[in-house]
Formats: sequence, C-alpha cells, structure tokens
Amino acid sequence: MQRVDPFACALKTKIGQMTLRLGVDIGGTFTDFVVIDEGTGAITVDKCLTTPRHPEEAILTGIGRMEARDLGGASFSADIVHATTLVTNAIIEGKGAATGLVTTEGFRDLLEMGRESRYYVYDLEPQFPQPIIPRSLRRTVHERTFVDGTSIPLDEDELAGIVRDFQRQGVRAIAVMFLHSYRNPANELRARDVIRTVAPDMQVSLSHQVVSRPREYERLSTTVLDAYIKPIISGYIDRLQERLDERAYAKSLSMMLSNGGISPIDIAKDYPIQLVESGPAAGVEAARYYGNVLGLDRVLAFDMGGTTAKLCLVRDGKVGRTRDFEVARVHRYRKGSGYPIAVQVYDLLEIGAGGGSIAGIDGLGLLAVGPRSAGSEPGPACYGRGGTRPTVTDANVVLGFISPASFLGGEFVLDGEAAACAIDIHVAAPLGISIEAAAWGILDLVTETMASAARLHLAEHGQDPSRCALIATGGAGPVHAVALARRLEVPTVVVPPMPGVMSAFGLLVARRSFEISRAIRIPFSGVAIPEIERMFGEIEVETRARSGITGQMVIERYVEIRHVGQESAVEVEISGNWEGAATASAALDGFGDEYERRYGRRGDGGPLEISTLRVAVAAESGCEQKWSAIQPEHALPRSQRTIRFGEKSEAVAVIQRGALAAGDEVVGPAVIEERESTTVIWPGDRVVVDASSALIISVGLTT
Amino acid sequence: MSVESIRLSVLWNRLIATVDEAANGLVRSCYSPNVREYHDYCVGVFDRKGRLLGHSTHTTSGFIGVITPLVQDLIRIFSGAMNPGDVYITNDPWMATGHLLDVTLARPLFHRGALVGFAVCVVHHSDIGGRMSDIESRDVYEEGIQIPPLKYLDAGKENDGVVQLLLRNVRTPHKVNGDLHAQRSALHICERSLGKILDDYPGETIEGIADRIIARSEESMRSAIRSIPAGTYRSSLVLPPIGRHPHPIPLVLAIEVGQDRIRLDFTGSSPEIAAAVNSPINYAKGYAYYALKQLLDPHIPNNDGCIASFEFFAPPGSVLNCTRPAPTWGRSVVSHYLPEMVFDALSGVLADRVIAVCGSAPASSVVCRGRRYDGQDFLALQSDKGGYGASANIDGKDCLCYPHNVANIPIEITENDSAVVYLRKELLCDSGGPGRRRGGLGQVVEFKVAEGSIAPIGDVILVARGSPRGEDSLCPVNGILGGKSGRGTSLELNGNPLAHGSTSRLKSGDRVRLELPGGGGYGDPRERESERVIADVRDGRVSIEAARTDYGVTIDPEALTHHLAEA
Repeated sequence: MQRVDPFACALKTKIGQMTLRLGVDIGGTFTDFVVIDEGTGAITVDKCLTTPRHPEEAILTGIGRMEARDLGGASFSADIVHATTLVTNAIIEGKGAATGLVTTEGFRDLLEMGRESRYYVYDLEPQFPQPIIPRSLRRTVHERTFVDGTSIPLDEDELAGIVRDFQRQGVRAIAVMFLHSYRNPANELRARDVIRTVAPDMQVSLSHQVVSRPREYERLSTTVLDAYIKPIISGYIDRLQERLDERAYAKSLSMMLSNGGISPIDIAKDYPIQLVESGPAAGVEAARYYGNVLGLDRVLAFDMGGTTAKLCLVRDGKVGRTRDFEVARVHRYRKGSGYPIAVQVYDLLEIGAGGGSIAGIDGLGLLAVGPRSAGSEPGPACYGRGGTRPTVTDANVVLGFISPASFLGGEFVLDGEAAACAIDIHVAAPLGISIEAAAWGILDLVTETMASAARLHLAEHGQDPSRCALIATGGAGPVHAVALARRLEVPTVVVPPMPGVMSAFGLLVARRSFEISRAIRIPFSGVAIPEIERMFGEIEVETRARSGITGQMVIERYVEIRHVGQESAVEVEISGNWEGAATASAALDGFGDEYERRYGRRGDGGPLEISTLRVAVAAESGCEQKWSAIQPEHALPRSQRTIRFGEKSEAVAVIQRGALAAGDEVVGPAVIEERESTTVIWPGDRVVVDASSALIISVGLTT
Repeated sequence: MSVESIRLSVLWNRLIATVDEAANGLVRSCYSPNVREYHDYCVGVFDRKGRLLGHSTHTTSGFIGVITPLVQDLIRIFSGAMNPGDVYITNDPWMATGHLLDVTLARPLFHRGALVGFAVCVVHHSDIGGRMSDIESRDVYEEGIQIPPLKYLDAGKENDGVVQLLLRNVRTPHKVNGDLHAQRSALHICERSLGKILDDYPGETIEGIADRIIARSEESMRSAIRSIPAGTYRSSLVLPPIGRHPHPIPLVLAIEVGQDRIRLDFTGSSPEIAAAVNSPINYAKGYAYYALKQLLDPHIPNNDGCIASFEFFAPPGSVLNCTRPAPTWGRSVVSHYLPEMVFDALSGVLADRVIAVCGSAPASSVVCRGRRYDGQDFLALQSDKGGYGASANIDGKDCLCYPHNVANIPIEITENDSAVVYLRKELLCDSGGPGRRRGGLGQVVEFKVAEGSIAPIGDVILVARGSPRGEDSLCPVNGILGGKSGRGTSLELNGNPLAHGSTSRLKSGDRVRLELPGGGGYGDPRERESERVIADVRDGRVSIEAARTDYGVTIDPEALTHHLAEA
C-alpha cells in the first residue's frame, strides 16, 4: 500500500499557463461543480439546479458563473470530466426513445418472460416492471448461431422489411439480440449493416458489443436499455459538446463509466448503458482517493442522501466490480423486481435508507423505517411542505443531531415542532413511549438496516468491518456515520471536506485507467504455467496500447481461480512471472486464504482452474494537482446545544467546520456543522483535523 | 415492551440478513445449475429446540412447516452426540422434503462451546442415482440412493465412508460433491454470523429471540384468522390419470376455521397410487400451509409462529400422506394442486385476496441426458412456466412459476451444457384465461436434439412432463369468481402426443414441443375494459376472434393497423 501525499505531488503545470480541471456531476436535483486550478491549487465549488429537459443548460450556467468570477482568467477553458444520472432517470421515468427489438426467430418474448420466478415468495400479487419494448415492437428474423459458432445466415430481406416497418412506427433505436452472438457475432454485425442501409439515422445496439457473454435474458435486457437511452444520451452529448465548443470552454471532455473508468465521450455515446452508475462510481472514486491520501487500506465508502444510502468496499485502493445489477425496481430494493443490467459496474450496495425514509408501526406492532421515502416533495415533516409522516431527518431534528436553524446554512429553517408531532402521532403514541425514545428508536433501526446490509456486503468480500475505515459523504452521511461505525465496530470515520459534492470531486481525482480481461480455462495445481505468462504478455501489450494513457503506468495482473465446475471464482492479484513456480504457488496461497475467509476452509479438494486473466493499467498517480487546504476562519462562533444519545441528554459543543484548522482536535460529544451537512461526534470519540481538512474520527467502541 | 419492539426489529433484520448471507455463499460456491440458475434451495436457522426463526429470502416455496419437523427429528437422533463442527445429512423423503433428490445438510450451531441452535440447507441435487424415470418408478428403491440421517462431518472431519458410498451411486458425482461443499459453506456462514450476533448482544440468546419472534408472528396470524368467519370451507378436485395409474385422482379438502385456528382436512382424498407422484405428509403440508400464509399474513418473514395455528390432516396411506416404500419422485405433480384448493375454498370469504389457478401448477419438468459432441456427459433440466392466475386487481403475469418458485435455466446455458437446440420459446396467444382481469399467458417451447457438428454421441434419453391441464381435461386451469380457464396444453414428440412422465430415446433431429397453459381469469370477462382488450389484441396476446367471443369486443382489423401506425 503506497501512501500518496497530495501536497507532495509534483507541480506538473508549466508556469504561466492556466490549467483548470472541472468535474461536473448531474444529479436528480443539483448539478455539482468542482474546479481545480492546477496552477494555484485553488478549489472552487458550486451547485446549480439541474435542468432535466436540457441538462447542458445547467452546465453552461455553472461555467458561466465561474467565468464571471474570473476563474481561469479572461476565458474559461478546462479539461472537463463528467458524470450524470440521466441514464438511470430516463429508465426509471420511462423517458427513453421508441425502441424496436430484432431477435432470433422463435424467441420474441424472452424480454417479457424474464427468469420466470418470483422475487418474494410470499407475495400473491407479484409486480414486475413493464417490458421496455412492447410486444408489437418486438420482431424476429430467420437466423441462428449455435454453441460451436456455426450459424444459419441472417435473412436480410426480412430484416429490411422489419426496419421499414419500424421507421413507419417512429422507432428511433433498434436493439439486436441473437442467441450465442457472444460466440460468433457475424449475424449481429450483418444486421447492423442492413439497418444502416435502410435507415441511416437509426441508432443500433448489438448485444455482443454491449455484453459479450452467455445468458440471453440479462444480455437482452441490457442491450434493450442501451438502445432505449441511446438517442437521448447521444443527443445530449452532441448538444453539450456543441455548446462547449461555441465558447471554447472544454479543452477536453470525458465521462466516468459505471466501473470507475474515465472514457472519451464517443464510448459513452456508443454504449450509454455504461453510464448507468457513473455518479455513484465518481463518489466511490473520491472515497478511494481519500483512502489513498490517508493511507487506509480498507475503506467503506458510505454515501447517504435523501432516499438511499450507498456502501462500497475499497480494499487496497481497489473496488470490486459486478455484473449483477438492476435498475428501476418496482418493489424497491428487492432483487429481481427491476431490469437487469449485465455491464460491469462498481459493486456498490444501495439501501432504502435515507433522510427521507418514513417511520411507522408495522402489522406486528414493531417499528419499521423505510424503504418508502418522503423524498424532497413533500419531504420530512420538518420541511413544512405538507409531509406528515415522520422520517429519519425528523428523528435527527428531535434528537438535536440536526439544528433546525442551521440546516443548509440557515437558508431553510426546519420546523422542529412538526417533526416532534409527526413522531408522536405515528410512533411514540402507538408504542406508548416518549417522543425522544421513539426518535432514538428510528435512528437505531435505520442504523441497523444499514449495518446489516454493510455486513452482508463485506461478508461477500470476506472482510471484517473492524478492519475498515468509513468515509462518509452525502448530506446525511456525516450525521449517521459515527452511529453506523459504532454498530459495525468500525474504528475510524473520515468526513472529507465538501462531503456534499464528493462525486464531482471524485471525477477529478479518479485515475485514468483501462483494463482487459480474457476468459480462459486452464487447469491449475499451483505449478508454473509458462502459457499464462505468454498470454499475460499479449494482454498487457494490448491493454497499454488501447488505454490512451501517456506517461508512467501502473500495471496490475489478476487471475481468477475456481474449482472445476464452479462459476464464481476467487480473484487473486499476482504480479510475478508465471514461468517460475513461486508465482503459481503464491496464487494458490491467495486462493486458499480468500476461500477460507469466505467459506471456512481453503478449498473443496477438487481440481482447480484459472478462468480469467485480467490486466489493468492506470496512470501512475491520480494526483496531478496541488491543491490547498481550506483556510480556517477562526472568527466563526462556537455555541452549545442539547443532544440526546439514547437515554442521556448531553450538552454538546457546536462547531463550525470552517473554523477548524489542520491539527485541531475535538473531543465528543460535539457536532460540526457546515452548509450541506452536520457531523455528529459521540461522547468519547476524538476528532483530529487532517492536513487535507478531512475530519478523522476515532470511534469509541462502547455503545 | 416498546423499547423491546425496536430491539426485536433490529435483531430480526439482522437474523434474516445472516441467512441471506449464507444463501449467497451457497449460490456463489455451488457447482450445478440447479442452485446457480434454477435456485432450488432453502437455508433456515433454528433455535436449539428446533424452532424455525427464519429462512433465506429466496427459497423454494413448499418447505414451510417441513424443515421444522426435520430438524426436530435430527435433534432426537443425534442428541447426546452432537459436537461443534458436526454436519448431518439425509435425503429421507418422509423425514425431509419429500423426494430423494433433495439432500439436506444440517449443522448444530455452537457459540462459546454451547449449543445455541441449528442451521439447515436443502438443495435439489442434479442426480441421486436410481432409474431417473420421473413418475414410472414402482417404489422408492428404484428412485435412487437413500441416505438415512448420518454424520456427514464428525466434529469437522468428513465422514469418508458416507461420501464415497454416495458419490459411487450418482451419475454426476462431481456436481453432487461440489454442491454438498457449497451447502457446507452456507452452514459455516450461519454459525459464524449467528455467533457474531450473540457477541454483539451479550444479553440475548437465540432461544430468547425465537420466543419473541414466534409469539408475535403467532399472534399476528391469529388475528388474521379471526378476519375469516368461523365455519367449514370446502374444495375438491379430480386430477387426471397419470402413468401406471389409469384412474382419476380425487383430492378433497375441508378447511375448518375456528376462533383462532385453522384445520386442513384432506379426508376423502385418493389413496396412494402406482405412479411416483405420492407425497409424504410433510411435503403436502408445506404447500397447504404456504397458501394460507400467502393469503392471510404474507409480509411477516416466515418462522414457526406463522404456522403455529395451523393443523393438517391427510389419511395415512393416502396420496398426500403416503407410506414407505411408495415412490415419491414426482410428488409435486399432486401437491402443487393444494394451494389452488385452499384459494378455491376461501374464495367466497377472501374474494379480494385469492388468485385464479396458475398454469405452472404442477411444475413441468423436462430432463435430457446423453453425451455431447465433445464427449462430455450431460444431464439437462428444463422447467418452463405457464401463466400466473389473475387476481382482483391485476392481470396475471405471463410465464411465472407458482406454487413452486424456481427460475428458468437460460437457453444459452442449456445449449452450452447439453445437446439440445431450442427452436422456439414464445408467449401463446389467447392462452390467458379470460376475465375482468386476464390470466397470464402461457408459452410454447420447442426444442430438438442437436444436429450436424454438434450432434450428440448416441441417443439422448428424454423424460418429459408438461401440464396435464387442458381446457377439456378433468382439471382445467380454472378461473375464479366468473373468470374463465387458461388454455393451451400439449406435449409432443415429432408431432405425436407423448405421455406425461414417460421415458423416450431421442435421435439427432428429433423434436419435442410443449405448450404450457395460461393462468385462469378473475371475474366476468364481459366486464373487462374494452381499451384493455384492444391493447391485448394490438400486442398479440388476444386474437381479434377471441376478443369478440370471450370479451364481446368487436375490433376492426383495419382500425387496429391504423392504430399501430399511430403508436
């Protein structure tokens, strides 16, 4: 584990040349901006309201504001990295384009059939999302590819007729999914040519290019979603590019993908489904950066907003990936009730627990919190916008964790009475307990909901929470982080500066990276395999060449090992030369260690095989800028208020975050307030302000 | 009491997360598509008295009320000789889950040296030996190797004799052994994570948590039962003859609803029969209880409190309570009818909650085995689903598993692992039972034995069972409260009808075709909104002809085309 010190980074900017880098993250409500001036190290942060119909407007507005503030001199020009929730929102809101499906003859309805099982076994009326493409726009053509790659050629005339039909019906995008195309894509490629000939303006998504692996339903679902959002996303990117070009704002424009990679915009246009988790991935990048800066080898990135909390493990600076992802679940947070997406995304866990999660009493007389959320409209009862159901935020107000007067810097005064009243009516009175005890219960339960999910997530990665540090971001993250850490026995909590714009910041600190993995099947017994060294060599050359990274690179090699017959494998990072026995033997040990962590024994005794080789290259350091710590303003006032921790009321210090300087220490109980969040420090916990202005909290382990 | 209601909620959530973690471990480390794709498994945790506290969120449905007597039997058998690290094994159909293919592994859970509970993991294995003939076996001895309750692990050490004997008797030893290891992993995770809960809450015991969970769940179910007027509710069904049994099979149910108890009495149901479709009592009970739980109190995570107020009776020696050595391989063929009988009986008093009959009851089963072009032996299971029954509020979902709950195995996975080539898998127009709410559509599935470069070496042995529920059969996929039956059912080999459950030898190019029926409709089809009927016609779910005859909606084909162009 290499410790990277941001302040020790070489200043790579030539004197006299303004170099701005801009991270822009379009969220559901706000578009966040973080600009770093690499020349001076100055960081500027801003937020604009998102403009859903023309998202580029908000970006132009934000840049205009920065230009007006004279950032970057007379004319603003920056390297821009971009993340967006447009893809997810378009899918959830059903706002994609009219899309047609062309698939293998005989298989018109696979999209609608799905996996044919129920996701919650006791529900008699299971609900499923409407198929993205209605039956009338799902068409089949004569063609077939077989498991050995042999095929019956595509009936091109039949396809041309279908495409003309689609045109008449106003279809703007076509998804093509042929069985076994991952093995031989010839028919899909031919289909694309036919579609282009008949309808040159039609957007096309080919299944083997979107997901090159078997399991037709998951590949089909992903390809259909890709086609569905393509006209919108490519239209948006074109308009954004054009508007940026008009004013020469962008020296370069790239986008963050769901697996943390930063890619040129043409990849995002060609495979927009890869943007599905781009915002959350950027948030994880920020947590990873802080983990590196602070020398933490196991980080649990914790982001909590109004409706959901997200958790993601970063181990040794690396983030797990998965292809088992879903969007738009009709039964919130129940796996199996949404559209599967089989592209690689950061393995982050989404939990229906946020500030707006609603509390109440269930049929058993037990307290329940979430996953239903009051959202921002009507919002928690304390927002005074018509919400009457108590939420997690209301509990925070009642307990004193959040101050009604200083929420959002005092711009938005909360109604503490309304919060108490809602909790009284819906929780305290039915249970016959005090309002404070009820509020505490809400907090306790939402903490456990997140902790249970976190334990499950960590267990899947064979990790013990007590060896992790929690990095808290999002509006509600710092409020709940210490409670969650205590429940999980996580010893350290980090609240970075600017926790409310972490995704935008993450866009700027993400390392440029690229990787290639190759599925293979080679028996493995822990002895040298020169063939693997040769294959790694080839993959490495290709990965370097296609990465587009100039300058020094970090190269990592991974093998996936499993028992013959298993599908899931254990990934082992291994750097040595496979022509020697030491590397193979180390890989075998790595497999045994991980298997034991997961399942309690070093293996099942049967033969092993190597199933995947992966090479990842990354620019040597993501830290190409020198940036300054936030300057403290010691004049900011301190005050006191009363907070309830369980049974006990405590008078706690209220500290403005802006007043803290590097090296300052605070002993809990205390709250540290800033414009977009509040960090709650429990009795006995100690806070040290790091050189990067991050709050480092040592969590007392007695609850 | 009130602070308790918060703490119990916290503990309960955590407990279920623990079992789900174990189920994840099972799926991630398994070796067969039965677990990985088909999801035919269950993981449950018990206190040391053998009371079920909870099971994995994803589970096969019919094990409610089944795994508890199983654990209690194991406690009786091994009490006095239990050690940390022990794992017990059995596939006894009467003691466990009804047929030999389901192998149960159970582990006593120890914490700081003391026995605190049990964990169980049941998996439907890819093979268990025997003649693999679906419903043709004459007794349980023909159905495979029987594993009485034995120690699979003794204080952590594998019982080599048991393992060797078992693996010598199955066709897929590698997969069976691997899945047993995966089951072991799941049990290991249960013990590790449950121990962590006890560490985190030093005042708590699993038994204490069980007392509270069970008491609350029991009370909740009792109050649900009180919403039904006391009385006796009846339903009966006659299943068509099957296999070696040439007579109809009557099933008779009386539900006696008392003050806060429900008794299910199947007196009058058929004696056990000569086809391998007989159910040991636990398995039949599981499907009957399952329907009651769904109907009365679906949202409480299942545990023994949910069924404490239920009682089940089926005459010993009947098809729902068969005695050793009756063959039970296809026990679902009969027991899958029990939920719809429960719904039918209670449809008068719970009209807004019941659903019409589902086209996937009983579950279809198509097994092919042989040798692929590359010399690999294969054994491929397919189970495609009919349509779901309609209910008061929603149309039935197309092609959805009920009452069983297993996924389909992807076509590409099956084709990669076998010598089968799918020709068709599509919705079956007009198959959904007409009603104010329409039944879900069934499907047509067609496949052939691979030809040319991927043709198998030698014959392929096929054992296929589709749905016996044609519209004019003894037991159609009935609609409910005025809804009509689901339609479409056939099983053909090269265009000729094939008897359900029979064994055939197939050559390269031979074709099998199944139609699985749609679900039953709910309410009078004439009351269906005409725009819904038009939308169904536009989507090709209902034909113009059926729109007129079933729903009384006349549609001009010209207007429909025009509509399409506008869409």
